[in-house]
Amino acid sequence: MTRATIVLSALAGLLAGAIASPAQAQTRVFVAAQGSDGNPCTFAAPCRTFQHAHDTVAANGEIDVLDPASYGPLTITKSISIQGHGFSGISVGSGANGITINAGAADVVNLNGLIIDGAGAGLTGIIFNSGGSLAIENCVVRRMTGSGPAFTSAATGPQTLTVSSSSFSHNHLDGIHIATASSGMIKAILERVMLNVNRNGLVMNGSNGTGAVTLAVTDSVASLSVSTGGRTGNGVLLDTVSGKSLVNATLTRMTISGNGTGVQYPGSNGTFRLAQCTITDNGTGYASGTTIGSFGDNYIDGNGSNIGGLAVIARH
Amino acid sequence: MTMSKASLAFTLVAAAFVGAIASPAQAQRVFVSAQGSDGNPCSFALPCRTFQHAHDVVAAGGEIDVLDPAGYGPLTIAKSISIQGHGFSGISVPSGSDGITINGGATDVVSLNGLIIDGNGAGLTGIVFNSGSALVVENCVVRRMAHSGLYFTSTATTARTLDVSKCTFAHNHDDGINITSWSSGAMDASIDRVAFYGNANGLQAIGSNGTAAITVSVTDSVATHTASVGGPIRDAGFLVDSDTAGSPVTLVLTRCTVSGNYIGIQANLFAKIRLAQSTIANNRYGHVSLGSSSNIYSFGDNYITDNSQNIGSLTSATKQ
Repeated sequence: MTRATIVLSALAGLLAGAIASPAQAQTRVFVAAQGSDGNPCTFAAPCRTFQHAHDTVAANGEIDVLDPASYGPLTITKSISIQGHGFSGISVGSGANGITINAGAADVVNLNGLIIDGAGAGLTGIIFNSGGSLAIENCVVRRMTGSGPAFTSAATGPQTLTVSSSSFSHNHLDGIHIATASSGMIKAILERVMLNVNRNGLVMNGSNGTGAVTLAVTDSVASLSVSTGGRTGNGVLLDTVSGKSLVNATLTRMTISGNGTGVQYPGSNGTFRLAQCTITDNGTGYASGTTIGSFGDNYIDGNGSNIGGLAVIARH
Repeated sequence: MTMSKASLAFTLVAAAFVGAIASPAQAQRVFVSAQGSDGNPCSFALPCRTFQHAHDVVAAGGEIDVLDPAGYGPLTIAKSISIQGHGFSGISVPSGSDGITINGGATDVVSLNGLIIDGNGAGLTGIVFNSGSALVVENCVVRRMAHSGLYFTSTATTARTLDVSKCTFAHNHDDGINITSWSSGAMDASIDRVAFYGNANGLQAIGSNGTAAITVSVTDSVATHTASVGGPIRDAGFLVDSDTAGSPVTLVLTRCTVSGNYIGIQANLFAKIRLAQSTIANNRYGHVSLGSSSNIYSFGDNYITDNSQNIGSLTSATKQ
């Protein structure tokens, strides 16, 4: 045998031993740059792809990433936590989605420290079709031809979305897209989120479902939204119509600058409130079909124009 | 000797991997490491040594991943690329050179994350953006350059964007960030949670050489300790300048702290600054308007104190 064959045979023997060990689903599995999906996804013998790790781990388990590398797109169908440590990539191929979440009604999905890159060809970074709750922390989703995360409520139960310390940029559709499609409620909290150079920074569309929506965005940026033909996108677009989802949204300490329109609120079913937000240097600062609520402490200046009005809400 | 079936299978798998390693050069993801070699194919198992070689090897739109803390050398970027430096990836910039030079195509997007670019007082500019569509700089440190930390410039007729967050620009001889238009292409910058320490100017935006508008918004950032060796027209925490109405420069500072500088903030002629909930304290000059007495706007909730002097006055803007 050549030396290489001996080494590989020895390695194979070792791995075979590991594979032979118990079949009980583990609550923590590992993936690594030089792992193999023939491995049992242990620390010593890690797997190679998120999908295989997901399929191997027990429900409510965790995938831990050991090395910087790409771990491929995946579909999630159960409660799971992925700890990517800020160096775990998903290179999304042309027309594909990065992470698709088709989980059960009570399932909780936690994504942390992932870099999802569509290179201008991958479709949507994170698609939430069903599940109880999605948390996205310390993630980057960039250069998708669709949206960064697209969170749609198609179920009748309530669903929650939490996003913090993440960046969604250079996506051809929306930085974050949230939509109702059913009677299920959505509660969304976004904090320290950067939404730059997308078609629209943040879109909340309640026009297709009837579930009530509460949305709170804090300490975040939605700027430089662009579309074909230049700077025509919206920083934040909140859309709903009478008879569809009641949407109550509050933006606190957001900077919304350099967009076609800063905040766009054509809807007429709910409230849209601004607190301590900077809305400057947009083509249109705010455009509302229905009055936008303001706590009277927003910095709105240097925009080309505004459309509609603001109604001051008392601070207490 | 005989091999077990399992061994045989693994040998075959291994052979497949060897085949993969030997296969085509244009990987979408390449790796560099402290003990890598540019003779390697830049895979995880056989990483390269320098950013430049990794850049040249990776496919357009691809990513360079760094595996170890080390210096990876200066580089010139000529395509869409993402560099993930994880906060421990150095570029020691040699005397007379720039750290990263970006000469991208009109639609190229460059993302730099987790780099520490150090000029040791001799390297010229940390990051030079000459051409491309967009630059994103996150979690980076650029320090001790002989010129500026980041020089973002445009000679194009199309718009370009700069997005900087969670970065530090410190002890650069010229500006922490310099944004200069030389053309009719609009320049928009979004800057969030950035620290400027000990530069000649923290951030300077100059529209006087071009015809395009420059729009900059800065949030939750700090500019302090600018070097006080110049005169009243230099050495500001934030300085915006335009001498033509056709190339306006606007800067909005929200929740920024500008302290301990020779000049806190300065707006010249057709340039404007808007201040929201910001602290401007302990500067020789707090706010300075040159060529116009009324191009700095305050929303009335700023903390402007303990400056020796101001030049010009603040124009009141109303919160809504």
